[in-house]
Amino acid sequence: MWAIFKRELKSYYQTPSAYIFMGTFLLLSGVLFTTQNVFAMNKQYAEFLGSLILIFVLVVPLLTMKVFSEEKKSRTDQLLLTAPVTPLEIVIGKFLAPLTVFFFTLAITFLYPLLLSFHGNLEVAKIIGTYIGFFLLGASFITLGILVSASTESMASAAIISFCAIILTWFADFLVPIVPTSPLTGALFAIILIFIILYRVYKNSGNLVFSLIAFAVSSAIVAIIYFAKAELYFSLIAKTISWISLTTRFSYFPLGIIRLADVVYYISFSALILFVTSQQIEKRRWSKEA
Amino acid sequence: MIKAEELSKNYGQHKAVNNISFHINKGEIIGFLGPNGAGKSTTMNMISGYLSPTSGSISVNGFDVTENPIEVKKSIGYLPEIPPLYMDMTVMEYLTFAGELKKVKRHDLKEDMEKIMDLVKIGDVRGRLIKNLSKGYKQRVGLSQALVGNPKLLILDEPTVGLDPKQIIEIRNLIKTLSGDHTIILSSHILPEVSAVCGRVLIMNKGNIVASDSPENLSRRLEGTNQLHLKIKGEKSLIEKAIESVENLTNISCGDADESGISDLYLEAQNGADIREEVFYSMSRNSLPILQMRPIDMSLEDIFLNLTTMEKEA
Repeated sequence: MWAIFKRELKSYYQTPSAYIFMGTFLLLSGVLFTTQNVFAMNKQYAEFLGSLILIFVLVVPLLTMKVFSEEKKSRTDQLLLTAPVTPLEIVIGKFLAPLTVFFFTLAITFLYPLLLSFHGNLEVAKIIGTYIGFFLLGASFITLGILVSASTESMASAAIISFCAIILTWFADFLVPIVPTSPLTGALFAIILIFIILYRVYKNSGNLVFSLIAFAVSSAIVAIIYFAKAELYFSLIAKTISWISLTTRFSYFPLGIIRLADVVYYISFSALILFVTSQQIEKRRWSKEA
Repeated sequence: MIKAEELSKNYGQHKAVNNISFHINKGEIIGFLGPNGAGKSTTMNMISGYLSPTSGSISVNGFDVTENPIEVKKSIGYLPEIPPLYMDMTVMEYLTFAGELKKVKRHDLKEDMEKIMDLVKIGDVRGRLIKNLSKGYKQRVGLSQALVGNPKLLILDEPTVGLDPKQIIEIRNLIKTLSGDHTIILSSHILPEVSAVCGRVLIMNKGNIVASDSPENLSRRLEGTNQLHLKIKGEKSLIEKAIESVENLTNISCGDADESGISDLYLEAQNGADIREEVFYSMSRNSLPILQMRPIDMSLEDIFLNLTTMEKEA
């Protein structure tokens, strides 16, 4: 695991990728900082940091696009997968490297509040809170990018798809107020979800009978609950969507409030995606294509 | 050491490896031989744990590859068909990485690397980026990666591809010197290579093992009959008449005499019968000088073609 981490980190700095990422991020944030805080003589640094998320969304694919797709292309994945390390160790090693690059980048932006602190009192709690939130959010974005990279074979498509995936979690915020909230739509939504999951099960296992029976049983349960206690389905769609919205959870950090629920959410989101990624790699061994 | 049972790998409808079983003992050098697409690489990928078999099982040193992959991978050094090289690393960095990945202790690793670089003769390029190396050097770096950590089992998929003849001989000798305490599986479609190095050959074709034996036994078994090729000075009709007195002949074919009056004669005798003396005396009685007599040995090449084309006809 550490060997992979070390190699990855080195390769970030031996190839242009880390410099492109850091350069882009720091240039854009520097421009924003200069115009919004320095020239405007504004000491609201936490808000500024919050607005950096958008820039981060744009550049995070630069960091993660090559993580697995390049390995597959140059066949070096054969070295990793035939070495005595588990897929999960590979994934974690590969996750820690871009996380470290991200951490360094974030550490550099620490100069900005330092600069401001000479000219007035800063709200330290808010700034630290925002940094912690930003780091957790960034880690989640990076895991998403890694998952996409493990599922694609070219860097370009990895970059584009991870960009879309991250934007999607962003857009989820805007969808929440407009989706239907009635219990009936909630129940239908649950059935569609079950159908999609069981269709995947069928596709992977080829067991049609089991999938059909499972679908019938779980649909019946959904229906029974609907008739017994319909309010459970109230705004189910919105709840589900807000679960994937990474940015909603960010909103308390800039206020200097670190809620345990948010921290746990980000950590478990990252852990889940990393686990799925390791399964994705494991699955490739069983692939039906050459 | 390796036990594969009823191993299959399907890619959709295509059966890349079709229900093969084999055993490999400790210290053996096994050659996988077969035309392109015979399933050699797929089989090797399955032994190394890179691919999982569709059905069947493989165990290495008593550990099942699917159930206990880490234990199996600890004892394997694998050189895939395309060497898995990181182009942005130097040779030293790359080998260090391979060693760390295989959890070789830091202290042992340095010594190990020096030894390997010496053996494979890549010491002079140790500081260069892999992407700037020639194909032969890249191949050798890939080979050294497989040797790092001194694994008991070496799986080498076409180890001499891209090397010049001198290097090929060097690598062959290297494989022979390693054979003492290593079990080695190598694949090739170059026949002399396999017969020069391997103690046993598994010939694969279309996902099946069509033969498994030592190179010598294979030639002997497939010969079946003793064949002789003769060049005799004299007329065809006279020669044919003279040869009739020889016993144990199963087949005679005679080429026309060319302008200088020399005929080609192909004789096939029954298994085990040595007809050379008899042929000599019968020709000598008829004053037909034998200019050349040569037993036709079936080379591995012939066996290979024979087996793989027989398969096609069947």
